[in-house]
Amino acid sequence: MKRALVSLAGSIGIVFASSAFADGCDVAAVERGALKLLVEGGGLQQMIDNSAPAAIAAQIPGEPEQAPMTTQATAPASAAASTTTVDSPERPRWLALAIEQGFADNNDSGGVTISLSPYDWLEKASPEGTFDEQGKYVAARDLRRFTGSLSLGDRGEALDGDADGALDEPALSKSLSDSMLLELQYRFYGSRDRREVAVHKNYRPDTLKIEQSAGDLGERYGAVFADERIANIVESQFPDDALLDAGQCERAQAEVAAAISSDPQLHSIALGIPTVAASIDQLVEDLAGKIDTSWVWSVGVSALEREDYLGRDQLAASLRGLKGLEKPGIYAVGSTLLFNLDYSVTEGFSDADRDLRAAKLAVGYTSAFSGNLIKKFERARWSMSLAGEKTWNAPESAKKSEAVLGFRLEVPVSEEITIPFSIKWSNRNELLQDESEIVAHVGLSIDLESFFAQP
Amino acid sequence: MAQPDIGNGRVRASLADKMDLKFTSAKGAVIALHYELLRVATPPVLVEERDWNDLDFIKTNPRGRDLSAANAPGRYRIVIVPVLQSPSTTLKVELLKAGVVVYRRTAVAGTPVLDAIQSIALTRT
Repeated sequence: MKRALVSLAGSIGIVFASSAFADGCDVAAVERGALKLLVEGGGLQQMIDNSAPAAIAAQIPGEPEQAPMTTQATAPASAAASTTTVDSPERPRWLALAIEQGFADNNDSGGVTISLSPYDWLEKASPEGTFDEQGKYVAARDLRRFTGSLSLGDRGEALDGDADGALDEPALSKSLSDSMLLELQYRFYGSRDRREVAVHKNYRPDTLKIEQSAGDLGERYGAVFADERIANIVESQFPDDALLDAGQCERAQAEVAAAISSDPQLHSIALGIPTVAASIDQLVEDLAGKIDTSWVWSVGVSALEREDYLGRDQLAASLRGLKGLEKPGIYAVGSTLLFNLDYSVTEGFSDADRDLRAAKLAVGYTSAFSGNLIKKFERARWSMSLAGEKTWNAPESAKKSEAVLGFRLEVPVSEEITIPFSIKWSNRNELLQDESEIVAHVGLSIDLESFFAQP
Repeated sequence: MAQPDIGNGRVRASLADKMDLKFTSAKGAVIALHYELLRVATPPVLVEERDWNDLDFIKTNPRGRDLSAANAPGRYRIVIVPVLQSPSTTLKVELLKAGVVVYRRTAVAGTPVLDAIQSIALTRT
């Protein structure tokens, strides 16, 4: 696609495409080219004066905007040895995609995790493209609120099996059915899915403003190019059904621009067209920013049942929240605040022991690796988390509270593969399943979704 | 995959030909779609205009608009302003003459709205 760039002071640019859709030059391309020539011919300063710099800057070409990928913001919540401390209220969809392709995913705990996301199953079972249609996609909105997973064969908890005072290595599951972890989650508030919420009542004032501006743009455009004299010139360039070549296109654009310039009223209206268009682009970007940084809340329950040699059974409930603090950039990495509140009941070691109850509050912050500071790592993410846990009915020798401070860095080494590094400190080393107070993990995360994406 | 573009934006049709516009959205939300039909004159005469948004496309997709308002001899200009939700929304715009597509473009989200404007010069004889 042929593009021309008009720049002012080296920092503000406006882009006009000779044709947004066709490879050749059509009626719309001639008209847009004429507008470009008008702006180049002295109308730019007036346009800048009438327009917010941000709106003008929004026209600078760049990477196509993407919706934020919260699915890649965190590791699987169910992973006991996960490098993350705080979980997202939205499950990674690659789990579901893995299952949809006919195989399960090996999790970080040595087991297998199966997605129970009903929407992903429905999408896979439906004819290809079914949910491309917005009506069907919106109709399935409530299905997307439910997510879940079933993990089988996870390794056990670290126990002092030989009573030597030191925790043993967690036992490996002998059979998939020896350990079953069921996790269900329901997103009860908010969504960052732009397809789902663009018409949500919360955003109606924004979309209404965009509709009104689009009407204004159309009226201005029509006022200029449905003018009989201008229309005559434009239409005379197209004696048949063919598109114009580059030379013909440039001549036509110049002729139309000259005709508009000769009429002060049309000239004035024409110069306002790029301004209105830029303001619409800014409104659209602002709307996307609101959606991408909105609150998302979910509740979840989980049940873990396993053989005695793997450890104790557990029931848990959770409340999870996510808030974007900064609009994601071109690599969909914004600053995000995560909030977790968990309550769990773990059965006692013996019938005589009371069940261990625990409440955990955790907050986390995830952000980009300082943008372009180091170009090579501009897609890297870092996160910090702080978690506090209070326990009841714990053994006499155990501490009654725990604090965990974590730092995590994710470095993408390719489009599909990310290496997460993490380091955690805790005042209660047995919960780190290690001898030290500080434990570090290095993992490997593969984005299976990109493998299965349609070209 | 998007269907190929058709036409150069100049369309001639006899009064016997039924003219229809068809809008088909996919993979996302149409935030706003403004359409207007003008009779070419000095100053131009607005014949009709309509605005649609995602709620309309959820109800009916594709959306059609018969151009019976342009059933008089003369020259008309059709202006279409699509505003699409990023990242993946597409909007196929087609003009049909007696049921045959004589103009087609597909707007893609992420395109600046100025570049997404559709302009069709229609001559009825």
